Amino acid sequence: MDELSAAALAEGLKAIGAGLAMLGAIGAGAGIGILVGGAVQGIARNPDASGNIQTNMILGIAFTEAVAIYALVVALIILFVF
Amino acid sequence: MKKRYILLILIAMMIAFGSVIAYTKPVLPFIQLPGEPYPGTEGMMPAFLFNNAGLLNTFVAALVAWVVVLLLVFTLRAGSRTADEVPTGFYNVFEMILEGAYNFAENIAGPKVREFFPYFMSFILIILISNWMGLIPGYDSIGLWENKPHFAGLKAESKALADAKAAGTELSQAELEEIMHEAEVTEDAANAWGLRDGLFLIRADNAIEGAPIKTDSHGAPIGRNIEAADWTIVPFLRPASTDLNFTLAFALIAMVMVQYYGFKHLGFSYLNKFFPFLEKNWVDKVKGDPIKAIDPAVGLLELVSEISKIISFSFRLLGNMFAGMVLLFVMGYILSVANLAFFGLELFVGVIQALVFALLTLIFMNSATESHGGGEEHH
Repeated sequence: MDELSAAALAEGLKAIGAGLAMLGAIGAGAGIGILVGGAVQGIARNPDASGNIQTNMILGIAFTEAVAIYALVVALIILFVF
Repeated sequence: MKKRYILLILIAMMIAFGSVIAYTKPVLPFIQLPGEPYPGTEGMMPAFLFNNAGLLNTFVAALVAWVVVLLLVFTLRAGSRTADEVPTGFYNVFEMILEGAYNFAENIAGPKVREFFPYFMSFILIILISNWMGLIPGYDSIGLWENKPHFAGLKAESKALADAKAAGTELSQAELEEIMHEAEVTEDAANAWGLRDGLFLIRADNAIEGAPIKTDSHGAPIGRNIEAADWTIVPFLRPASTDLNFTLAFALIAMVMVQYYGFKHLGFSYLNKFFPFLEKNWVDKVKGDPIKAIDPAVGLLELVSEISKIISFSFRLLGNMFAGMVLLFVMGYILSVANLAFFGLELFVGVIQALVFALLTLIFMNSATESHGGGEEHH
């Protein structure tokens, strides 16, 4: 295999690796769905508490989303650093 | 009446921008995760500060963000001195924002809000401003032209120098030039095959026109024979929050201050959270409740989680803002009109991330100042 096609293969493998790294977003997606679902139920049952619930929901989303962001950072590092 | 003209001018500007976007194909710029050094500044900055990277555009953007925040502070200070009973204008709006943020923080931190609020608000302001500045058109797209093979050559040179220094040997000028030339030729060959076209570099068909001729010290043109795809733009400014240095610095400030307030409010008993066996009557406690023997392991986990909070803080902000920047670039390249929607999204993400960063700092500070074992002794 000459040098150039090896480089081309490396580029392609990088793209595949970045795509695989983003599989981590599955869990975060499900998590945010469950979280918001629970928050909406809470608000529907007790609309007066919506402010408090919203704050906690956004906080929970930030924590959950962090996992997806880690996956994203790994993917970005694969694509743009190596 | 005056305000209506401003609105009209804004609409006219939007139409002008829109028509420019509609008739020119935007280019996808070279995307790089670390901050990009201005061409020619490599090795010019103090090595211990910049790690030989040169003057980074994210660093300059951070300075600009600080200047904007300082201007805001001094404007508002002047406003607060001259304010009447009924404040007006910008000062009034900002007072409303500040009051809202204060009440929000008070809900979480209670009476300790007076201590924590400065951190909360300054994190929001500086992060929000550096996030939003990246949305100004031209902010991260106007810059200096740079020759990529030349860049690769410089990189190889600095690597070879570092290797030689580590090995304790010295390189002659001819050897260095050989290494640089080799790296340039390799990079050039890779680009000539179009491997990195489209995805990583400015496309050749877009970049070939208008690429300025770079000249060497004798005025002779250089780089003209190299493929136009080898030319890329190093923007003058790039949002500071797309650089890990910036976000890590804020994460460190936040977590160090969390520890500081923990010690300030609880004294050395703050350490009991991490090392429960430091407590005087710990042995009696374990005898009374054997499950407490597991506490040292839990304390170790707490210690690890303090460190992982730094990582999570810095990567959350970096990931969100860098992904937003790449999203705008890529969408502008694929379907530029769609960027109108994504600009709205990025405005929202900018606020949310600034708020989340500040809110988490506040919550960590608050929970660090609350003693853990205190309540259980009464049982």
